Amino acid sequence: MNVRNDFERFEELVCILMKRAGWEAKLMPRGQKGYDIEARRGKDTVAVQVKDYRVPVKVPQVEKFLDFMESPEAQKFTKGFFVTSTKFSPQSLTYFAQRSEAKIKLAGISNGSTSPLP
Amino acid sequence: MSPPKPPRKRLTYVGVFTCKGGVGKTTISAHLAGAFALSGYDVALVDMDPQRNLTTLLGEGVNLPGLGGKRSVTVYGIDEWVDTKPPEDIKMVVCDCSPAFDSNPAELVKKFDYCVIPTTLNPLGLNKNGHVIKSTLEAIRSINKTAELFVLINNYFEDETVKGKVLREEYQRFFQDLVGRDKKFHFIDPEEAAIRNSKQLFYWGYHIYTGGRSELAFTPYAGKCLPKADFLNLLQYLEENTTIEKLKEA
Repeated sequence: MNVRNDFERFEELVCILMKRAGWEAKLMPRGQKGYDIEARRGKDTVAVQVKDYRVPVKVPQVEKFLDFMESPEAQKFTKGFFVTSTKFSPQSLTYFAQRSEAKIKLAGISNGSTSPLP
Repeated sequence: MSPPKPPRKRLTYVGVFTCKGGVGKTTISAHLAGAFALSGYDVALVDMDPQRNLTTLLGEGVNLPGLGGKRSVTVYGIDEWVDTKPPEDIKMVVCDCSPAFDSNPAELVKKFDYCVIPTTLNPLGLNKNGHVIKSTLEAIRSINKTAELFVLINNYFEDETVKGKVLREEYQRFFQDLVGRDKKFHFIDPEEAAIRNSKQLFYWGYHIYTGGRSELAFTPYAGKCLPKADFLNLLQYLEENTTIEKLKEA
C-alpha cells in the first residue's frame, strides 16, 4: 500500500505523522515562503519544509531552506526539518554536511515511515 | 598464480576552456576540482596555461574536508604531467587550459572527454562571447570530435529576473544553431546550474597578495557560501548529463 496516494498533498501526510508523534502541527497556506508546516512540542517551534518531488532534492533547495532558517522571519523557530518523499542527492547531502547546522534535520518518508538522515 | 593485473583504466579528462581570458577559467577549474574532491572523486588539476595562474593561486594544491576524511587536490604544471604515468589513484583530471588555443598540447586536448566553456551573461558580452564560444567550439572540434561540451554561465545574477530571462533566451537562440549541428554541444540553462556572482569568488586569489594560505572559496562568509552550493550543483548537473558518476569511489 502506498500511503501517499491517500493524501492530496504530501504535506498533509507529514502533518498527520507529526501529530501522531505528539506535535501540534499546522499546515501553512499554499505560497507560504520558506516552509510548509509549523509544529510545536514542548519548548520547540519547528519550521518543516516538505518536498514531494519525482527527482531527488538538490543543492539549491537545501541551500534555500538553510538560508530561510537564518533569515529574520525564521528567528522564532528553534529547529528546522526538511522532509522529502524521494531522497536527497549526494551533492545536497555534502552541502548540508559542510554547512552543518545543528538545529536542522533532514528526513525522507516512504510508505508512511520516516527515515532520518545524518 | 595471481591473475594478471587488469589494465589501468583510462583517465577521464575535463578541460575548462575558452578562447578568451578573464571569464573565470582558472576559478572554475579550481573550484570544480574542489567540488569533485568534496564529493569523493579522486581528482588532479593540470595547469595548462603558460601564465601558470593556478599554480600561483593554489601552490602545489589544496586540502579539503571531504566525505570520509580529508582529500587533497594536487596541482600539476603541464611539464610535470605525464599522461601515461598519472599519480596513483587519480581517475579524473581537470585541466585549466590556455586561452591561446595553440599553446595547449594537442595530444592532451584530444583526450578530453568533457569541456566546460565558461562565459558571462551581460548584454555587451552576449554578442561578443557568443562568437567567442562559436570559435571555441570550432577550435576544440578541429582536434577533438568526441568531447561533450558544456557552456556554463559564470558571474550570474539570479535576482535580475526579467533582464536575466531576456538574455538567457537570447543566448539560447544564439546557440540553437550550434546545438542543432553538434549533438555534443550543450548550453547549461543557468536556472539549472550556473556560478552566481559572489564576493567570495570575486575576491578569490587575494591571498597571494597577503601571503595567506592557499584555499578555495568554499569557506562560508556570514554563514553562506554560494560558490560551494553552485559548484556542487554544477557537479550534480554533470553527473545527471554524463557518465562521470561511475568514477566515484564506492
